[in-house]
Amino acid sequence: MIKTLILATILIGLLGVLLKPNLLLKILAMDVMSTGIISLFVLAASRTGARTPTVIPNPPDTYADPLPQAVVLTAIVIGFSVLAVLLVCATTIAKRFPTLNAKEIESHFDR
Amino acid sequence: MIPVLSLVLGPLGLSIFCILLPRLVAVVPAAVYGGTAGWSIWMIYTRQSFQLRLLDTIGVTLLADSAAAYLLLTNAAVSLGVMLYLRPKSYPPFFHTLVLMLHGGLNACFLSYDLFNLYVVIELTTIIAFVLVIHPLEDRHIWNGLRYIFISNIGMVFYLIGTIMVYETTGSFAMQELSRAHPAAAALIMGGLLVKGGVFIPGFWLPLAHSEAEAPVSALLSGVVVKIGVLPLLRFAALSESLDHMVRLMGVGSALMGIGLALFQKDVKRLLACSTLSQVGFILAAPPVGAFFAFAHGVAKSSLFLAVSGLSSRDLNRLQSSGVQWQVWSAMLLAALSICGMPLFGGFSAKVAAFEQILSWQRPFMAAAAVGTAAVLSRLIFLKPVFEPLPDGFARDSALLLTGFLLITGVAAGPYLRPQWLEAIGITAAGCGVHYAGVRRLARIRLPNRWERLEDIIGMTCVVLLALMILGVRP
Repeated sequence: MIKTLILATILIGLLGVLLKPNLLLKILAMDVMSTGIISLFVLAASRTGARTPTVIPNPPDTYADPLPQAVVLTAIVIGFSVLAVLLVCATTIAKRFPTLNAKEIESHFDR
Repeated sequence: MIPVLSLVLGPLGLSIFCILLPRLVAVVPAAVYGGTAGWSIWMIYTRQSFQLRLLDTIGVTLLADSAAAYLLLTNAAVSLGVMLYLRPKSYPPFFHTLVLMLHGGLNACFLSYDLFNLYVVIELTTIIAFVLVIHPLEDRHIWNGLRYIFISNIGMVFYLIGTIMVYETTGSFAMQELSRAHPAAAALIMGGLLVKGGVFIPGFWLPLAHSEAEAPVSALLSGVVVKIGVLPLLRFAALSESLDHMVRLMGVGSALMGIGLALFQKDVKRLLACSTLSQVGFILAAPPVGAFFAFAHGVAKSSLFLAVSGLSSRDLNRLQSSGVQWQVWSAMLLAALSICGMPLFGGFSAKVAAFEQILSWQRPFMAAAAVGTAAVLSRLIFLKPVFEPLPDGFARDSALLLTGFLLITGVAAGPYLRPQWLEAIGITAAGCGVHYAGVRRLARIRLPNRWERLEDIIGMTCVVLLALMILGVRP
């Protein structure tokens, strides 16, 4: 159930990227997709249990798989930096051509 | 173990010192690129291959085999060529440092044998390449860079979904687990890499991105950066039969599509970029020898991109009438002959090896693509050389170095058999014949550029992804 919802989030993000004409909204829709991916990793980690994976004697219940949780941190940082870079580019372009419509910007560069 | 790690950590660590002390860029990059070249030549010469596992069982695996060694050598050769090109020009030390960082990132991509680690290093390389693309900070370059990083990030989203699916079924991120995972996971991972590697329809972003960047950046992008998506695909092809089949199919499609697009181009740099699209297809069509083909193509294509920066115009019709300075012309001629697969060049050895490995159903398509390659490059070969003073944009040293690499490889790797020489010359002659029979007039037709729009590329990528999934799930 949760997995279906997460996959739906990714799909909604993809539809936003494809259908929204506004460049800024496209970039934000891509971030929605990244959020979906991060949740997918967290969900995969919680299949063995939900407790924080810390080392203590006689743990009361099963703990979450630490590997996906550890690697997804890197994905979050990368997603964040790519998002920042994209937003800077989009604002610079929007300053030069006073529009955020991707099609209009593209037609400026058509030879 | 130490040399392998220093291939990655060396360039990345030293680039930090280069930022702190800009004077270091006079010596450090040359030493690093020389080190990579020496190590990879030694690996190829001794035919060694070893795996390196960092930390314990769940750690990252690095694989240094001959395929990785060929791509490391490509990286070293192209970086050296670009360095010699940048030397006499007034590029800031920061630009040299970025090229050094890109070198380290690319080395990491070629050595990685772990799905998640590969994602991290591919993203690192993409971001550095993006900074190089937008470096002149003109509108055109910023838009080009934005498109580049946006489309590749969409590809990496698919890649990550596939990666976590592999982990759920096998409990590991190791690359060899892909053969045991669900076919849909393999399709998603392959889809992401097709976008990165500029293969087939997901690679439609490539002509614009590679042709609009500056000459040294185009050389790096076309020469090595596209190969970060291609090498993992070659490794997947070795894992199972169905993956091998899909990789070969994508290769054939890309080879034909690239040629089809290149025939309609009248801009030199766009023509070269479309030819990259088709050459990537050649690499994937014969996975067992793909890495060697990638080396021959990477060196020749970067030499071409660096040479065309010395042209007076990018319009092929104008060049036809004005002619080309003879040194620029000879650099272009030698690199183009290597891509066509003429004997004594690296491209010949690579093409002969590739044609030995392709399956019978691929043969007619690849032969057609080879003739098409010769027809497309005939446009450059048959430009008129004229005696003029050397233009500013041209760097003779880098052209000499890259052409030297091609000739040494071609002479060292052979083969020296008569039928293959005749076949190669025949294919090139057929290409020239096709060129003169009137195919060159196709360039007068202006293709609609709708297929290069951002949304259309992403939409078509999704369609290809679905097709891959259907192809993979089918028994």
